[in-house]
Amino acid sequence: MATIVVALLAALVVAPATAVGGVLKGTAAGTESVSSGSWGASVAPTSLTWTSNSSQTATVTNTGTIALVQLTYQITVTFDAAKDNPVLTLAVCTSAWSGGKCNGGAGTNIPANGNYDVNGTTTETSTVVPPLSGHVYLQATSSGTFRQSQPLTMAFVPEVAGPSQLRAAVKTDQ
Amino acid sequence: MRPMRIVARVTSWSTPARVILAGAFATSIALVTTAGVYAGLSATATGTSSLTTGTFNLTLSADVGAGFSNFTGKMAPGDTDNVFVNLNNTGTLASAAGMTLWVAGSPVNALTNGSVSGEGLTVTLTQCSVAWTLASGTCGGTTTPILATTQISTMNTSSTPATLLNVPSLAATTGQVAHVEVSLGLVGTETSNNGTPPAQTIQGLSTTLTYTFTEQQRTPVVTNQ
Repeated sequence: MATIVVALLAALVVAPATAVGGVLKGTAAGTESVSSGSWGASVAPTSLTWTSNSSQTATVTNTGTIALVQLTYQITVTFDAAKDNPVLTLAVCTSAWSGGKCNGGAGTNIPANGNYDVNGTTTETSTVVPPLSGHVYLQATSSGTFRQSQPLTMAFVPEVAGPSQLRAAVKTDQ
Repeated sequence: MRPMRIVARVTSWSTPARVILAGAFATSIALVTTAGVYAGLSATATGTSSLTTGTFNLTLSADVGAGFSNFTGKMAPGDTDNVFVNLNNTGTLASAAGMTLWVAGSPVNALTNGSVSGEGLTVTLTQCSVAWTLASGTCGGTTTPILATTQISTMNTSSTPATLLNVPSLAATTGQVAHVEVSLGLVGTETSNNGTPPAQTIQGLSTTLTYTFTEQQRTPVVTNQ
């Protein structure tokens, strides 16, 4: 009985307070839909192996939906440094290499001035990039001396970082 | 003649019995009397009072251009997608100063839920003293920041709205926060390796954003008359 009485009294006290404290709220809503693009590039094959001095090629493909302005390559060269002394050069072309030539020329060296003659991984950038759904073509050329019995390899991992390696930002007003 | 003698016989009652009897008698008298009084003094007084409740409505419309709509392009990090809207108080009650905004994404994904730290969609609100120029997306008058660039992931539920700045009390019927640019941005700093984005990525996603603006009525008024 005491509990019921207390509950009734509480209801009488609380109900008016709630009514007084309640305020109206007005809301308005709008919707818009958006999609994000993607960015990236792949290479095939990812690794080249030499048994004699020669030129080999790989194809880099734009796998994203956002245009690129730059690519980074992680390039790993492996050989027996104790006994061999190879030298590798790398160049990129917007067309497929033909007879070792890029549209009749030498292509664009990566890096612009330098080559690869030590074991290990280096990071190089290139502004020769594949267009959307398109390709660029790498050509690596070996020279120097190395034994055919020991592997000489060059591996590539193309990387694309946003936003610095993507097209300029776009402002859309609608 | 000898007068007749009348002898009254008095029954002897015990003391407790007498008390009970007296009490019952008194109670019955009291009840009867009370009933009689109520029945006889019943009265009614009435008064009438008329009142009208106000209305409180917030509406959203385009300022220039399409207003809230769909962006067909693929956003890249750093891109901005702008729309221009007006918020109007069309009710008969003024609003209190201030307004809140929360933005829901559907479907919920990394663009709006903060699952990729530091990345995702952002929103910025700026008011212009005159209508925006759609062709250039510029303000020919004075701009007032209403919401600094904010990650949507921090304001993606009704319980975590962002508080808009510099929103005054809106007058009844005519008050408005007009010429507001709603600027959507994308932050993306991730790196794709050999054509593969990170496991947690903002790339290649779509969502529909619902912007919900909320205002409150003016302070309640006590009227004595």
